[in-house]
Amino acid sequence: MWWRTSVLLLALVSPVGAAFEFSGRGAQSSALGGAFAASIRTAEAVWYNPAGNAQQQKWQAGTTHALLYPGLDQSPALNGLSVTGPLRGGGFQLGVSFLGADGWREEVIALGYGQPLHERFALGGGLRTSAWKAGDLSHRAWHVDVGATWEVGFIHPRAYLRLALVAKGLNGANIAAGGQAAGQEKPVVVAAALLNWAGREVLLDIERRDGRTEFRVGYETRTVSLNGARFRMGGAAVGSGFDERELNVGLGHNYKQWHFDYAYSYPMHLSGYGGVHRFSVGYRQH
Amino acid sequence: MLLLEFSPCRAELKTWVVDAVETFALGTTQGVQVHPDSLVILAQLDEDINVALGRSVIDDFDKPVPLTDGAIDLVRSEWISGTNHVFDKQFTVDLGLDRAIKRVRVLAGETALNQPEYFMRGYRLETAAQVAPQVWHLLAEQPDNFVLNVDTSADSTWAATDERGEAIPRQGRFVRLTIIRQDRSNWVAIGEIEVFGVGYISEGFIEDSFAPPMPVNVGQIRWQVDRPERTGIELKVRGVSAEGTEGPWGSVAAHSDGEFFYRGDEPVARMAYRARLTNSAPFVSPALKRIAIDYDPVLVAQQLLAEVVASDPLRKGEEATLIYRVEIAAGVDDYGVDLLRVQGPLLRVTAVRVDGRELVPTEDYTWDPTPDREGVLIELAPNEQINGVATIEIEGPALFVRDKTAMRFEAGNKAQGDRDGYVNWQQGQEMPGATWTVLAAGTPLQLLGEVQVEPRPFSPFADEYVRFAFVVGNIEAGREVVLKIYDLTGRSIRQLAQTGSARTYQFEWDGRDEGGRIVEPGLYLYEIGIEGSDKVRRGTFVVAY
Repeated sequence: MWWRTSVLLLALVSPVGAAFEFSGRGAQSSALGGAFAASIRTAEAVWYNPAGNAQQQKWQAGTTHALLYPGLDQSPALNGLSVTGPLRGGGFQLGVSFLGADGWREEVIALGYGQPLHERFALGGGLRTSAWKAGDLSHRAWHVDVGATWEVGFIHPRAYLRLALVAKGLNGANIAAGGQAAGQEKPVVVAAALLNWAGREVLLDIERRDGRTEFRVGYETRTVSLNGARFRMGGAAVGSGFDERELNVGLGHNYKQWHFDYAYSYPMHLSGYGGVHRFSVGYRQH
Repeated sequence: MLLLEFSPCRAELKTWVVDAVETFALGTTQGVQVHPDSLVILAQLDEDINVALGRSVIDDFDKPVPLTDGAIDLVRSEWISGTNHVFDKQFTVDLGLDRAIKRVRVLAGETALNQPEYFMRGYRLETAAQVAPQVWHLLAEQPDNFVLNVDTSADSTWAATDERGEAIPRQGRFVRLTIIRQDRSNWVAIGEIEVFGVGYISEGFIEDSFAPPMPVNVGQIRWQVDRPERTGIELKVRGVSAEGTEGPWGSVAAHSDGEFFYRGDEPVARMAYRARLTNSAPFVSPALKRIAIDYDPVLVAQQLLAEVVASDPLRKGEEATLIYRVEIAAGVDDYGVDLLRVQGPLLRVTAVRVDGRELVPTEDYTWDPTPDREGVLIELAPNEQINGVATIEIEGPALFVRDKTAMRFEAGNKAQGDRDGYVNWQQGQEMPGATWTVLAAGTPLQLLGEVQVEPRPFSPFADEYVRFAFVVGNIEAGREVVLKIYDLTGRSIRQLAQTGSARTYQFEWDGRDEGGRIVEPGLYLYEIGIEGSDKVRRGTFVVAY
């Protein structure tokens, strides 16, 4: 049955679009190529799926600092904070992100709440506000997101599957200060899957926005010999003929309740820009 | 022979056309031969010319056997062997290039003349092409030879034509002789190996000129060529003034059909063209099929003399104000001047004066950068058209990137352009005792200078364009300068390109992606690069609305 549902979720993908999507991404999710909509119980999920922390049992918080394209004279910097915790049988998540360079400042605040409706199924809703300022112009917009996760379960004695479906920007907010039609946000639909195979995770996100399809894949493995260090890699492909591709690699390490992550993203058609470096530090309650 | 085309819609513009074999034949042809099928074909050498003379022959012991200048010297060129390995011994003649092989002679050595048993009893002749020197094709094989001097023209195994009577293409750079039989001993004496055939020359010229009844303003030049692979063809033109001064040959076209505008001094009293034909293979030749040169007996003005007056010392990479002064003398029979074009790095036009009177922008004149961004084009209002003698001053800031920059001047007439389909610009001349060449001091500029982006932030609705201005120094003309725009995630938004030389560049982007949609507000990346160079400028800019 699980594969029928998967096919159904993929069939729901439709042409859409969005803005401010660069905001928020942490080192863990970026190292996985941004294929993160099916990841749960992590503070970074606030940027990917409103239902991602519906079954959250512990408090978690994390910060991210990203240096974008150090090859530029004025490299944009991105800073973010995300928090998640249990609330009234479900889980809430909060994220704040700031990005700025060259007279441009943008800020995104995302709030989400998810509730498990069934032991295998959770539903969540989110409210995001995105604001930008450039010179004398500024604007703030509000966005509505919904998401769901479905624990398919073990499809093999060693393989566990989770599916997710997310729709962002459903209200079609306008991010243009003058309300021009070109600033109208297009909804984004993401169909995602996570396969855990004997401790190794493979993630896939398929995203449709404004007539473009983006594929993202991620892979994470954990070593015992290096005290549980995590190695991650991922990739994304978009555009007609998937001529725009991005490669990602990253490391993660836990020390007691703390976890430290680093990710390097390299857009292959942007050679010479120096890629994107992300550093994250997180704390998880016992 | 001159063929003049008159068209009802072109009352004045005439065309000199050369498109017939006889017409080409009237011109000077150097190293080329007129051919009725293709108009022009490279020279075909006489069949009796020995193309192998003077080239060394190498035997398979790596022993050089020198061939002489054609006067057969049997002693010096004789190869003689007394080994028991004479069978299958080979001699290779290098013809230098692939050639058509019509005939091969193998002359006996002097020893063989005295002792007949030394002559070659059986032989095989083969050839190999330059591209595949190891693949040999049989020319002739005679296992039962009875003549001292072998000549393939009398060899029944050498077939010059196939069963349908068509010539068998025997083409190659190398000719190899193999001794396949020797009856009485292991001695053989060979004098000379001669290869006869069709050679070719690799370069030839066709040139001709015509003199119209009066000095003219030359316009568009069109030409048609036929250029097979491994051949080339290049057209140059030049004008000769009424005083007999010959302008330089200007290379205007190469290798393919095209249309070009004459760029030499005008008016011209005589017009000349020169076509250079080259090839690197036998049997093929480029062909010049047609040349058409437009000319107009009616001039824009009798005299157009220009000079540059720089008010500041000029330094490379720094804006400086200069005045471009033009003396115009138009007669009653001339079109008159209402279009002015200054070729050079004039960034803007801040003032235009006619005989000291300042014209009102928009009302009396308008200006725009030329489409190639290599100059400015000024259009005078109808009431400001110059039909007599006047001095025009064009003032504006300019930015120079080279040590020396020649700022050429052209004048045109709108009515002529409307009538003939294009403006036949008349080239100006440097004012005697003055110059239109500008010298700029300072060290050479960077290949790619700092990029100025204006406005910041950019609104596609309020600003129309965001401009990327920068200076490119020291690149060859014809290189492509490319602006790429990406969004912050690296998605390609738009790519713009200009072809030009070392100068100031300005790209204008309207805020639309490749699909014509205005992009969302946000931070964007730009990248500017030069074809064939690693030098790149990258930066960010903001779209906000």
